[in-house]
Amino acid sequence: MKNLRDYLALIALLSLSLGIFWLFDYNRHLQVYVVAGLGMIHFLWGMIHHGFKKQLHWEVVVEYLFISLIGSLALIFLLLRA
Amino acid sequence: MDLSLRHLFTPHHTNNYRARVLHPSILSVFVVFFLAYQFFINFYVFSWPSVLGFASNIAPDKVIELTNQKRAENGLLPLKLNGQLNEAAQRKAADMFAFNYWAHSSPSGRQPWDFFGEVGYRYVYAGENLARDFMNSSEVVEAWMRSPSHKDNIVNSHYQEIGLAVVNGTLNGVETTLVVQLFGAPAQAQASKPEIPPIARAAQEEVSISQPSSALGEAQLPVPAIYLQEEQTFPSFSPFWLTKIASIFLLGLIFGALVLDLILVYKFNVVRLSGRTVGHLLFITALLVAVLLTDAGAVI
Repeated sequence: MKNLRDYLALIALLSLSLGIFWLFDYNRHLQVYVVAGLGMIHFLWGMIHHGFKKQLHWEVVVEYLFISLIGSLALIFLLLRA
Repeated sequence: MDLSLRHLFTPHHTNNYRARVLHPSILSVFVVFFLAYQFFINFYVFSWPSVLGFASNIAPDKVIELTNQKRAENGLLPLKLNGQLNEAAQRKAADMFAFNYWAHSSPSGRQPWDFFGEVGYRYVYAGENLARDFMNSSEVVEAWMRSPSHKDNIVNSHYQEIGLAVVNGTLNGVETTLVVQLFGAPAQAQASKPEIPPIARAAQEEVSISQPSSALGEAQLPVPAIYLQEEQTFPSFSPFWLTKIASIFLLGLIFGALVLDLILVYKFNVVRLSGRTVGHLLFITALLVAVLLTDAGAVI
């Protein structure tokens, strides 16, 4: 599979963040930071991955930005309501 | 209709081989709609307070029983129910509703130990655990046990007595169930110790979710709170559940479009300029798992 190493790195980072999110479920503030971190991880992963492939165009940057933003917002608002 | 759906959800020549819902223009519309939805919930909550709320099924006796069960598992004696501590807990809950705050310290300047003093309870050790919006007694105690600082209160060998209040009221415009759990070691039981140590509080930091009431005098008004003596259920829709449903719908929509994209691009061997669908899928999956892991209820 192409890009396997990059995907494994992303899986590791996302899993670690999810673990922290679950472990500290009594601390909503920390969870909000973890979710913001998840969004950053996804965005930065995309930038680094496409940068190395020399495929980093502004359309790609905007796509990662919006998917990171919308995903993080959906969860952060939920945490603030909990 | 068929073409519109295909345009929206599948890679097609009409959308430059990327589902329209994954284009930044549509994603930005989603962001705006989601923010507007949150604004609408806030507007609704403050315009018609008490309409949205939380369904509670918490019984004080059960919380105390479970607390003592946790102590027994740690080799500690059970806590005795104390009427004065019960009264102090009810006063604390009433103060939280009256001054509209979610914290250990009141905007009125009262500290947790002030409520002990008001009911005449003299202590050498005292502690306070707070919880809100849990579904049942077991969830409350389990949430406290997962938090090291709250667990320290529950399995603290210094404490001998307990008081508890489970109170329904309106906090920040939303029907809320508060649980106030107070611990104490009465002064007469350890008379040899002359000094009174500082109160042991569950949380080191205080998080206020609201501005102090602008009319502090309102605290003197009768508090619209219901003191629960047994498990009761109040069917209602809370802002939390409205947001959870919207979050699952939104993330599910993106997830579905990404899966379709992955399958069709692989099947038709499409070459295009875009982000990595697998990378997006992993991220959205992580978020969906986190949403499903998130339940209503908070402790401080």
